[in-house]
Amino acid sequence: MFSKSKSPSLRFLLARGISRIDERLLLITIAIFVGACGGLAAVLLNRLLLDIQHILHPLRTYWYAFVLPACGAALSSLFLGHVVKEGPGHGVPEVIYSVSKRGGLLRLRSSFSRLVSSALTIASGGSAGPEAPVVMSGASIGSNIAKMFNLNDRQRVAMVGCGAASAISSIFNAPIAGIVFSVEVILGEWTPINLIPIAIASVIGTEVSRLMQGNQIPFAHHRFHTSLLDIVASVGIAILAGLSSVLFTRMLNKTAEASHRLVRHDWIRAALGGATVGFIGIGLPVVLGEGYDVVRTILENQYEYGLVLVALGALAKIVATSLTIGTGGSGGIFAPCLVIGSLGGLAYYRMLDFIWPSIPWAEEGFFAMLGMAGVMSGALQAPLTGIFLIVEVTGSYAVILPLILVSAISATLCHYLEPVSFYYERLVSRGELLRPRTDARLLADLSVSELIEKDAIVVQEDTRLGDMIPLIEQASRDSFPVEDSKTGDFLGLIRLDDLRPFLFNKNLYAAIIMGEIMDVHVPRVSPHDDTKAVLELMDHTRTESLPVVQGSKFLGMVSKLTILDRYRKELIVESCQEV
Amino acid sequence: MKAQLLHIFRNTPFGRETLLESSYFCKTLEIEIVVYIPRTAKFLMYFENDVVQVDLDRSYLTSPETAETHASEIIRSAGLEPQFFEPQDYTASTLPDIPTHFDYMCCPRSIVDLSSKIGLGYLGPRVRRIVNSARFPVYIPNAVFKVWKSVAVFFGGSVNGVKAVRLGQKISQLSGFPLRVFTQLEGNSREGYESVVKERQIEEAMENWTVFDSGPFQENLYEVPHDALVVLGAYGHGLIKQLAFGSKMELIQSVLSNSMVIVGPHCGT
Amino acid sequence: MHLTIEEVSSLLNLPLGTVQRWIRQGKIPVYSFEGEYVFLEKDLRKWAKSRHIVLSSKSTGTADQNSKQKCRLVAALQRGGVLRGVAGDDISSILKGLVESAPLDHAIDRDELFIRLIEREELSTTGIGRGIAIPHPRSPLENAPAEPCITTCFLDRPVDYGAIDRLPVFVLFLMLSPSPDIHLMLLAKLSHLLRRPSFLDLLKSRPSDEKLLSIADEMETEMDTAHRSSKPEDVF
Repeated sequence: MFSKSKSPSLRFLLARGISRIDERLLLITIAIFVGACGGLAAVLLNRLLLDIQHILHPLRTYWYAFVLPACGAALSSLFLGHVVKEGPGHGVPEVIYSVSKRGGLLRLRSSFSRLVSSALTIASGGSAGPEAPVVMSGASIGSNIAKMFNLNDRQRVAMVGCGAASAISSIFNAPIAGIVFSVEVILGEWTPINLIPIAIASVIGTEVSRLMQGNQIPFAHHRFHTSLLDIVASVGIAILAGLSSVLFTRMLNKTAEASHRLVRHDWIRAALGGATVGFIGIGLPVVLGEGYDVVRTILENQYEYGLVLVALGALAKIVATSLTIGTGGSGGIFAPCLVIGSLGGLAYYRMLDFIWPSIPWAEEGFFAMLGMAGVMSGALQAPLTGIFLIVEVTGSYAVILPLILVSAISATLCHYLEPVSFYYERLVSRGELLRPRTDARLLADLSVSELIEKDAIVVQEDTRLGDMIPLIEQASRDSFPVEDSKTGDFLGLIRLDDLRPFLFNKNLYAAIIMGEIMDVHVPRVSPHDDTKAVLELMDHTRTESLPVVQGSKFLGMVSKLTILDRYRKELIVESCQEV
Repeated sequence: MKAQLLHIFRNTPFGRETLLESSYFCKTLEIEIVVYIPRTAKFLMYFENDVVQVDLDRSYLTSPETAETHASEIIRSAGLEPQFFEPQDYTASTLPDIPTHFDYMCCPRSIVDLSSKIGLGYLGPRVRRIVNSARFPVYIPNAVFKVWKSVAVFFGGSVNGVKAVRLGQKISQLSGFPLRVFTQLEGNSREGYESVVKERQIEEAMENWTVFDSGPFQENLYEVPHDALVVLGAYGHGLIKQLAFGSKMELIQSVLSNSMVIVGPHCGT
Repeated sequence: MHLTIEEVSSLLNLPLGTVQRWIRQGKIPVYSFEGEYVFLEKDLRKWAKSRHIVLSSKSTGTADQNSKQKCRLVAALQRGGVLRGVAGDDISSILKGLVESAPLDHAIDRDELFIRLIEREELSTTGIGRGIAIPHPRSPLENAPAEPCITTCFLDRPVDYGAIDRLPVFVLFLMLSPSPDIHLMLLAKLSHLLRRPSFLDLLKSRPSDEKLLSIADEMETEMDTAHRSSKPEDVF
């Protein structure tokens, strides 16, 4: 009960000793733990998917098989909405929002809820991938482990990055892709202090996956023989992939928006989406599920269908994925990108072969791979992730040159047409995508309540000009707020510039009162206003300082000079990460 | 800036009682009341080291059209100016973020007995998490509006107990109501508590100090005046008892019908 | 040395809220002890140095207090003393005589002082009218006294000083201050006093040292109280 069993200084030294353990070492240790858990989460989802698919497989031959995706999607939606009481949503934008604005705080329930809901959606035939849910699980695991150790915002964000990286690494058996994705998409910054723990978590995640599932390259294939012409043709596939990504992103957004407008209840909406996908799946089974087997077949050069069917398949996959994810199904867009890309690439190859049959093009698998890289880089607008992921999952470092080419072109094209990727779309529209060390981020950190200065001398509306003289003498500002003498409400502002013409005219000292010359229309700032908005207001009204008013009470002044000074301090402490 | 209390309004007769309680609290301590009328059944509160999701009872979404009018009426009748809060940030489209910069927050009691839903929403374990993470004391009002005329603080000798005494003192000064401190000697001697009082310099508050040196806690609670505002600290006694924390607060809450203010470990004074 | 969060925020000259936020975001080195945040001065200084953040000294508050104390006009007049019977017919000889007779600190170079006073006169006369002159060096001397001093000097015969109202000067106040701020503050006070007809008459009557100082003391105290309650003054 009484906390002083040892002398205070000894306890303090002990506490200090523990905190003194080098921060980097601490982060690495926790990262190992996070990596293991994240890896396990991914393995768990994989097992769930396999098992449920196995159970449902015999049912697919029946005519009513189209109902399966509908049930899966509806169950998933009900589970998320009512059992774990988590809102519907893709998950990755939520992680990015939390990293941007909330220091990486994520709910504990997110660490397992998405695993279950996406298993339901995908295994029943929904067109989505298991990656986004597993990213969210990993991120949430990282966040909550960080919470256990009482880490601060910066460290917690690093742990979220670790969780996300280990999840991706584990599910694809691709450690580098995990690191790159985490840094490029989730965190948005490369810093030395983040990189090592993330790399370690990624490796641990991969190891867990290899231990439990064996070390295989997901999409192995034999070597491709490429020539210069193929490199030239790559440009074509890049453009095609870019356009497909744009189409995909737009379709996702539109479907989400339209279905939300048309159908009120979440689970009905999900069920309808699932049913439609089921229908499409009857004619084109390629659209169902995450589609990895389709990709494998194509890379093995064994996909039998002709140009038209393949192209149709790609389009259908775009539609089906939009329907699944847009209506509230739980899943990610990685896998669908791979499928769309490989189908698209295959179609491109068939077309090339048709138009110029004499040229010895590289095999279909080659173009399929390029297609995958292109669509991934375009849809995520993360070219590095696209490149590294494809290299690692296909084990084909040899074709990295055309891969880079295609990724770069596709991402650029996509960015030009659709500046904001699917992940960031919601965040950017609300101004909530705050990447570290950007102007927006720094300003968001500074709140008006931190910037208020309370040294202005307050006067009343009946204060005479003559009475102002001694006040001006003592004042350290050149603005004087005017308050109502009876109620104390803020009425307006007097600036020294307004008084200057009359200051030296004795005759006016008793004649002018502050109530007459104050500015009642001075724009007021509220303590909860956005600092960015305050700066814009100052620019707009060409003022250097403004009064902060709450209710009708004057609280203090906020000035541009102070904002600049604090902004600079924020930038300094933000940039030097070595504590 | 004037202190503010966050109140989540339920537009039902039970909600009316709670708002009356909050309004009286604010009026007596001269703080502002900020009301949030929920449009969704859940919201998030981001604290320094935790994010708490609060899932509200469906009854919180009753008649949104009349909610603002009703709330304003009640607040004005207590002589205060109503202020309403609209969430600016959303974690997901149906998940608003409620800020945590307030000085007090009104959390309805937990439901001890699910069948008797006089409590207000499934808030029990959440209240604990909020208390654990928040920088502000949590005000848990009575189920029915009752005017309190004195302040009763439970002092257990821990850091949070001291904070509770200081808060009790502040409330007593602001309201002008008398302060009484209660301690249950659980096998420890009185001198131990007195040395803590001296060390933390809270002698002033301990003028009216009742120490129970015998009898079970529940029965001693009868000494607490029925019209007192109870103030106590959370997580008084170390990790093991931390796990049993629920029982202490729930015990007091299930035995006493008074409104309570709970001071968590992160509260500054 | 342990510092509390309030001490740190005043060292950094930042509001408490900013420091709390930096702790939460991990931007400042801190230890958590028994639920309170504690800073180690050594670590904080190292951190500040690496980021080129200037820590304001803790004694700023007291320094201001001290300088306010130093600005007591009467104290300065006491230190400077009163001279009478300084001979001379023109500025140069008056000032020479003044510098030689004034009760100055040994460290001060009197020749240097004389040159500086003449420099200042050449820039613009220090004869501010009504028979009063306030010779002073334009910027503080190298060995300026730590405490300001004002030497009052009554002339036997009024001298043509080239004052702004062309009236001959009969009293000089030699002002030596450690810093321009203190000089200005004392000058302000002195000019307030000099505007009062009663004080001027007093000076013309060539009072005794005690009388001069006691009346000056009275008036200064009166002025200070009036200033604090900021009533409109007879400014112009």
